[in-house]
Amino acid sequence: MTRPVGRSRILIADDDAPTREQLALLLATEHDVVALVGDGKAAVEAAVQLGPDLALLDISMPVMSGIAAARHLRKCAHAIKVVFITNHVETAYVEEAFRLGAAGYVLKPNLAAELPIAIRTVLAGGTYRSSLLG
Amino acid sequence: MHDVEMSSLDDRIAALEHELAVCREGRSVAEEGELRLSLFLDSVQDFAFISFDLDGRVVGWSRGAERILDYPQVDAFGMYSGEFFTPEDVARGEDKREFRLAREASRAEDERWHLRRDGTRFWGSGVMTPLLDAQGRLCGFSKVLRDQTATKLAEACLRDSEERLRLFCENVHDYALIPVDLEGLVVGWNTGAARIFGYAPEEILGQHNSCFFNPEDIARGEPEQDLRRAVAEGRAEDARWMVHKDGSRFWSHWVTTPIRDQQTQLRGFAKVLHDSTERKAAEELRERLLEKERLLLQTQVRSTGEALDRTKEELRALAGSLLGAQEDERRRIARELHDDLSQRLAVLAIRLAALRDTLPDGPGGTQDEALQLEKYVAGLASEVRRLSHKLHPSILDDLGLVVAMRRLIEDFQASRDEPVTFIEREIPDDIAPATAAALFRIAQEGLRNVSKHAGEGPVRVGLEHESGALRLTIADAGSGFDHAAVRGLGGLGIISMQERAHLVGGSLNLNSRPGEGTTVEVRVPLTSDDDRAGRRRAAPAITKETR
Repeated sequence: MTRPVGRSRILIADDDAPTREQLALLLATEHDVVALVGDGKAAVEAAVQLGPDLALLDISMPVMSGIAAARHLRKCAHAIKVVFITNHVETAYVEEAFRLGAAGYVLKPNLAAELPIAIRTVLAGGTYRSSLLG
Repeated sequence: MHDVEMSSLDDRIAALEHELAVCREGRSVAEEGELRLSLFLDSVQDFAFISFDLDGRVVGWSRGAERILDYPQVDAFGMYSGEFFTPEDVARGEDKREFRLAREASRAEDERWHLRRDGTRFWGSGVMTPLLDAQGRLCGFSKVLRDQTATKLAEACLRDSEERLRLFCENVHDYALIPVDLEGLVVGWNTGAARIFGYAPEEILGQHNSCFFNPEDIARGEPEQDLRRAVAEGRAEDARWMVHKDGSRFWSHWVTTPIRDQQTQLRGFAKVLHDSTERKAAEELRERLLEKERLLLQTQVRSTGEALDRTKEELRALAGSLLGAQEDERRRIARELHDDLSQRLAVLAIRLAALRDTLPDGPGGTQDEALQLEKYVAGLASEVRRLSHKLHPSILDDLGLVVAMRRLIEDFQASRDEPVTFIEREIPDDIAPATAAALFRIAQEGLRNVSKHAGEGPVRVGLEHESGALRLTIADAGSGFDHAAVRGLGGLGIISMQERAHLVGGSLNLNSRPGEGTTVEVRVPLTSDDDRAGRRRAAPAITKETR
């Protein structure tokens, strides 16, 4: 499970373009951002095509939610690690996310502080749960 | 006579006396007979017995004559017979003719108006006979007269009424009045019959009445049946096509009545009929107009019905689009609240936490104050999330129907003591959003009804996938209700549930009985997003905004 240290390939899916850009900038120093997409369906297609190491998925997205996209990836590209980036703090969300095999759950207000740590943890084979969750 | 030579004068005298006695006796016998006859004649009051001499003067006057002609015997004697006749008859010489006829034919019988003493008239029927003496010589006349005025008047009346009836029948133009005999042969023909049928009396009298019928009716034996029915039922009434003399047809209403004499013996039949062709044509025209009007009305009703159906469809589409628009708007506001406001509050909380670390610590210090603020902001954020969820459960879009339902059931369970169970089986992940939203909202409404109306008791919610459809059931063990009794009574909750089911091509059944709980069952087809889009295009004015 442990990957050799090096630049990982990351896919970013968020329906808010400024957020996508911000995330790309945030991660670009450590990783290769292979795709920026705006909905769950595009994320699944890009993931299947590009085979990234990790997919950062927003949950609330049009066309297909991040959760639904994760369900698909679990079936057709289960090697891709999934980290959710979201505003949802409700238990139902968190539970469903981890039930679907998510490796990380990061809350958006604290992205800058938590996301680099979360990604490192996940790529190292661990799971990350936002410190803001009770 | 006697031999006078051989007898003495005395003998002769004696013989004469005897002869005289015998004669006297004979005369008294004759006188007595005459007296008796006179008494008899006088006692007969209904007849006047009058005798006249050769000049026609009254010489005998019975009591009956006194009564009938009103002249006492003394006044009547010597009156001339013509004085009892009307001046008109006298002028015509009827008085003399009577005597002459009596002389020549031994009998003159006639009836005429006679005059009483006061000039009034009476109808007398009389016989005058000649009176002959022993030698057969005419010596006078006798007349027997009877007052027949009453009979005469009665006869006249009868004759009059018969005549009037005949004239009436003959002159009726609009109705054929046709008497037929027992054989059905025509025995009378009035003006109306001639006018209607076109036969002259001599052409038709004695003909069988079947010539008025059309050949089809004759073949069916209608002419005979008509008479039979008249006898059996007292009358036969019908309407049919009849035939003119020239073969053309006319529509006729008619009645056949049996004619019976005073001994109730059947003597024949009376047929009364009327040419109703025009009336029939008018009636048919009226029928046609009515039919036309009825058809028009039907068309109007149908088009009104169609318009109503269209209106209903439009209303349904409108309701659908309203529900859709409401859902979209709620979703939008919910996202604003959640993604923007809620996020800012989260940032605020993080900054407050960071700020708190830089503040002086200690009892009653500003760190405590900052902590209170953090908690307040956290509470505010939670409230905003709750509001957002209430407006539109983003969980439905994000996590799917099953998770959203589970969350709904958990929330519902939190408000009740009795168990609320949720059973879901083989629910696919990719339910069309509209279908998922409809089922979720129906479940929400259904549970709201349970808590409002059903009271305590276990509740079972089921979501199943069976043969291309999703089946949602919400069953409570509560008080139940009579469906018919609450129909239309503020059942907006039920109506909106039905409308939501209908909008996604489904149906809703409500089973409830007082005391036996209520089960709401919804069945909606499981269609893909593409199918839904197709349906949407078909239905007007439903907009669906996607973010």
